[in-house]
Amino acid sequence: MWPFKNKYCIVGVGNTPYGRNPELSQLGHNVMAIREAANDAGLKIDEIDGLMTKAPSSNFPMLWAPKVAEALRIVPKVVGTIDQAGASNISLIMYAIAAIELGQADVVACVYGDNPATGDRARYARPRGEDAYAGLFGAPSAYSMVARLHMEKYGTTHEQLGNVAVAHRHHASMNPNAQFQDEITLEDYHSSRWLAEPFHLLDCCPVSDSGAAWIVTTEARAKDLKQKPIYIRGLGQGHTSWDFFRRTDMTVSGAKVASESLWRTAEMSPSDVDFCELYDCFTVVPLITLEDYGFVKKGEGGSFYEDKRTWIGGELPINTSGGLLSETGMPGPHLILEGVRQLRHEYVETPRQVEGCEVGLITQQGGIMTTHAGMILSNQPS
Amino acid sequence: MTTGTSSRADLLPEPTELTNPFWDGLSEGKLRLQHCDDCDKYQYPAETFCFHCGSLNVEWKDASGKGEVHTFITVHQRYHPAFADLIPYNVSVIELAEGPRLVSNVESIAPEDVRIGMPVRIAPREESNGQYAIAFERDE
Repeated sequence: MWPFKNKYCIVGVGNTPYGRNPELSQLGHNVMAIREAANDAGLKIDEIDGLMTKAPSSNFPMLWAPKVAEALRIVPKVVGTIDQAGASNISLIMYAIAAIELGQADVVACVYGDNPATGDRARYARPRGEDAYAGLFGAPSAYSMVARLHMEKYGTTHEQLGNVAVAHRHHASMNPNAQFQDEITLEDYHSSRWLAEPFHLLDCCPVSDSGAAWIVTTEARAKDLKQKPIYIRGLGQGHTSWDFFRRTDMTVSGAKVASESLWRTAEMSPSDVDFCELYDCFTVVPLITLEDYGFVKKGEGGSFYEDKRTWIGGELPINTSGGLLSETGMPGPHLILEGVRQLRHEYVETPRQVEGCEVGLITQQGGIMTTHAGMILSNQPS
Repeated sequence: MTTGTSSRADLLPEPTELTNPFWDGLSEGKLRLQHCDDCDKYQYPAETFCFHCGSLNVEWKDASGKGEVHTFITVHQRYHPAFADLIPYNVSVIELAEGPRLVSNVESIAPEDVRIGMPVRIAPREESNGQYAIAFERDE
């Protein structure tokens, strides 16, 4: 039995407005998200004694967590940054749990905030080393290479990729905080312009200003706080690590390795999951994620999104607030926030609620499917 | 042409003492790769050690220059001014016969005619600064 069963919870979540937000600085997104999360939890800001950050992608700084602590005017006992790109967001939770277990802190805030849309997006635009001479720039091109191989190897079609874009946009259309709220059809998808073929514009997430924070503590500490605790029931990480074109099989992600830890620690299997929030920087990634976690066999991810199976009200709702594709392009933490909100039943009596949900799978990843972490959240202890 | 547009040559890595044999080879129409005397594997890019076994006994050898397309894309978006006139263009992951993979271009062919598995061979291109760059063409 996993020794941390039922012990750790997320007790507060908060975010800044998504999209283009010139009023907030990069640091401001981090600070305001944490203040929102603390209010959400019913915590005073100085009750936070651990601060773990994923550092902003756009101009990756050193000693970022101490800087955020200073901007909050707090002096936490634990500070740090974990760099796994998007996967960090769940790995921050792993470190938070470790810090609390080791008696180093009690209440750990985790945060990501950046403003590449209105600030400095140097890193997003920068040519990728030697590949620049070959004309390979940016994540859409590299992920498109993966998608091409998945289509060749497994027969995945553009329609199947398009279903992902349409489904996630459908959920965003119900979300007043989403950057893109206009529903799209498959025709809209097919006719959206090519970026790096096989990817259309609508296969790709935007670059956004956003901040998000999530606060971790023990179940015992949670009892004094405002919200129903959301239990961290399972965790896993796995990383392909190598540059995308050097991997033996470019269509496999770190989820394959993370999967073993995740289901083992949670003592669950895919059939226990009521909804998923899957990192969807590009349409092909959720399909690969579903395969690598064992929802379907390798190569069969393409058909998963057919027949509105992943729409709220369908068999397995996925990306219920719109995901990276439509809610906001920040690297993933809004999926954690949405998972918590769904499990709190915050949307009850609206079409956004996955009715009666108890278990959610949240995934985060980074680079070009270079890193991956997954988590099972539940509103129930086991 | 607009002024201030950077040329593609500006994106070429500068040859170093470590990599000179690679760039010199291209100017002679040859692909050279590092080969490890201890484990007999080839590697790319160049390093001061063998990636596979850690040996320091890596030396440059002439390679076949042949490979195949592992996967590819066709770029339609203007990401960089140096490529504005080349759109749409192919970018491919090439798997060399000796094992290593790299990112390059398959040229002298319409981008829509490139296929996964297509046999290719090197076709080094002289850049505007006199440096030869790696590129590939279909191997008939």
